[in-house]
Amino acid sequence: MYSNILSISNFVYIASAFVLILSFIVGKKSLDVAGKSLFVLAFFVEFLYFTLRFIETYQKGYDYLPVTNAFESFVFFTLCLGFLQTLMIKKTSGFIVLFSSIVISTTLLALSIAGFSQHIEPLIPALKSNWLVAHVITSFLAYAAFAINFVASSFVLYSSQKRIDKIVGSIMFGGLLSLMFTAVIVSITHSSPLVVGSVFLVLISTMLFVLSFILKPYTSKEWIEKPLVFGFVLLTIGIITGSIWAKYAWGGYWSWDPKETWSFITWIIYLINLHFAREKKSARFLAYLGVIGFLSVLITYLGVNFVLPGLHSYGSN
Amino acid sequence: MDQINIFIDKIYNFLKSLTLTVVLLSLIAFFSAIGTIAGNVKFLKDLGLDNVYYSKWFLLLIVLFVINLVLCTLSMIPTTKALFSPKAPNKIFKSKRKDAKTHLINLLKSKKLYIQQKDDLIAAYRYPVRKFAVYGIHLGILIVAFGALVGSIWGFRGIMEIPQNEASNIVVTRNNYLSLPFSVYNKNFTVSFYQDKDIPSEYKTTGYIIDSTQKIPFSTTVNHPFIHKGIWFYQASYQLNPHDSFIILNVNNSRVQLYLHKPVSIDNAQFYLANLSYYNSKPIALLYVELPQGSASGWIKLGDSANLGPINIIDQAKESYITILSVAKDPGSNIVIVGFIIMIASSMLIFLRFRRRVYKVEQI
Repeated sequence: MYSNILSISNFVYIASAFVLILSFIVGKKSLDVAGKSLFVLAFFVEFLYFTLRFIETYQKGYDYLPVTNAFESFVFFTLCLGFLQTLMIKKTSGFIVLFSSIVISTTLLALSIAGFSQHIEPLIPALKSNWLVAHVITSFLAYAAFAINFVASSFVLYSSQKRIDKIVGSIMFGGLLSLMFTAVIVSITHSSPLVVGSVFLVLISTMLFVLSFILKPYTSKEWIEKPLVFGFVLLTIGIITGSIWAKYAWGGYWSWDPKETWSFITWIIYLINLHFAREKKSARFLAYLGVIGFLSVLITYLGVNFVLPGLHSYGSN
Repeated sequence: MDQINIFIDKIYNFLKSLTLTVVLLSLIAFFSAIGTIAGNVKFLKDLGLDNVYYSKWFLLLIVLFVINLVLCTLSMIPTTKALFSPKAPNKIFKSKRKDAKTHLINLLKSKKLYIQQKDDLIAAYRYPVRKFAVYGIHLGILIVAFGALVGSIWGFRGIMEIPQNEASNIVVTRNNYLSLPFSVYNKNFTVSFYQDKDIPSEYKTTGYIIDSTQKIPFSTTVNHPFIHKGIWFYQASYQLNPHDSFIILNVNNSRVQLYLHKPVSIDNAQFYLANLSYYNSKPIALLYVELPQGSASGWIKLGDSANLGPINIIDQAKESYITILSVAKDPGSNIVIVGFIIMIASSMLIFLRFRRRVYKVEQI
């Protein structure tokens, strides 16, 4: 019903990305501020959308937070990312904000063509639990924090002086951008996403790789470590609340269901990352772990719901 | 003798090292990941990797990790101790006042710092508790692991299938079965739907526990288990009971009972009831009919006349369900909860910012 508000928010996110890109080219501080302000504005518009959907759900007689199906969960992920990025917008490098907004608009664009149902439906019995809110909010804030860690990690690699790092960074950012462009092209032309995606991936990554040589190395660990610690604590709480919920729903804290297992793997990867950060390893080293960690987040979040069957599969409807 | 000591030292240093932690956790993560796909990959399944989580050597990895965690945590104690037993100043406090020391202490106290005095040194700490976060988290993990161990030794988890109007005390576990000292009677299992929707709103079993001469009533829905003598019962699933689910067909004006999954021949026609379900909260039946002139199949609503040869109408349907309950006993449950609470509380401490100043007072 309010989906045009979501579109407006996405439009503002994209606008903020363009302004931030411009600020890099021109090198003006005012453009950087403008881009970041647009990002904050976009977040508040998206938050408005979320609130309205919550109210609408409530008016239909269902009292739950709209985070329970695939569509709502993706929107909530972008909302969490927008929220965390907004919280620390002042101190963050424009490049990280730029890619946060690209992550968000890519997700929202892909979502609009994926064709998930946007209807507000009542909850199935498995999801009717008081633990839902705590489990989902903590897990998604953790995912969002790891997304920022990923963007910062990719940026460290992208701006590094080593060729292999540049290639990995270019592929990460290239992958993200080509997802966005593929979403747009496929929604207009209905061509094969695999073909369009691969072409974009090769083209954009190559272009980014060439461009990377003009960058100065970015070796600050701040935006790798802060989201890492925050995300790790929240993921820990997310897994714990999830397993208490499981205790009341399935008969035990832990069942080695694929989603549980992958969240555990993700937890281990970030746990290792965290301990290496304490050991004062280089930004480059932590960045590689950040990239691996986020791939694991993607498998936990997407792969398990859509590929591996299990107790969490209702998320794919 | 010395060589033995060096050797023991080496082993100890290896067992407490972060390197070992990383290796063990990577192995645990790697095999966990393999376990999630092994069910679909034949050669992995043949190696038994789809059930890797229950294997002896996976347990061995976890035990090694626990040893590593204990030793590494213990090895951190001297560092923490040193942190709170200052030996050298890192700041000089210069003052002309005679009571310089008391003055400094009052100053630091007003900032709500934790203060320690030792000889001529004054140490001030902001959020000293922050330095215990790591012990708390590690302790929490150990307690959770211990609780899980207790649960796996003295507890069990399994499935109970109870047809309507029957009682059972058999629990089928992962690779065995056991009988409870009491039985569970399934009086009724129901599926409710949201109004005008095909989305189920509730699965509910009601019945009673038969314990010696006592009859204790219960009802359970998804997410709302009931507990009897420390054993938890959960609404997990359900299925139609083929021996007690049927529809009544009106064939050539005579009424015929057709049971689920049991073909019936009447005259030249074969009838087969493949499934019973709900549509818009009304029962529907998936019916196959084979006649000499051909066959037909489809979902039919109760009370509808059907164009399946000689059948005029389905008069009645009776659905009887077998409720499927998860059953669990976990004596380690409360231990795990304690571990969880310690883990969460300690991990919150990470957000505090620790600071330490050791002052030496100098009068000028």
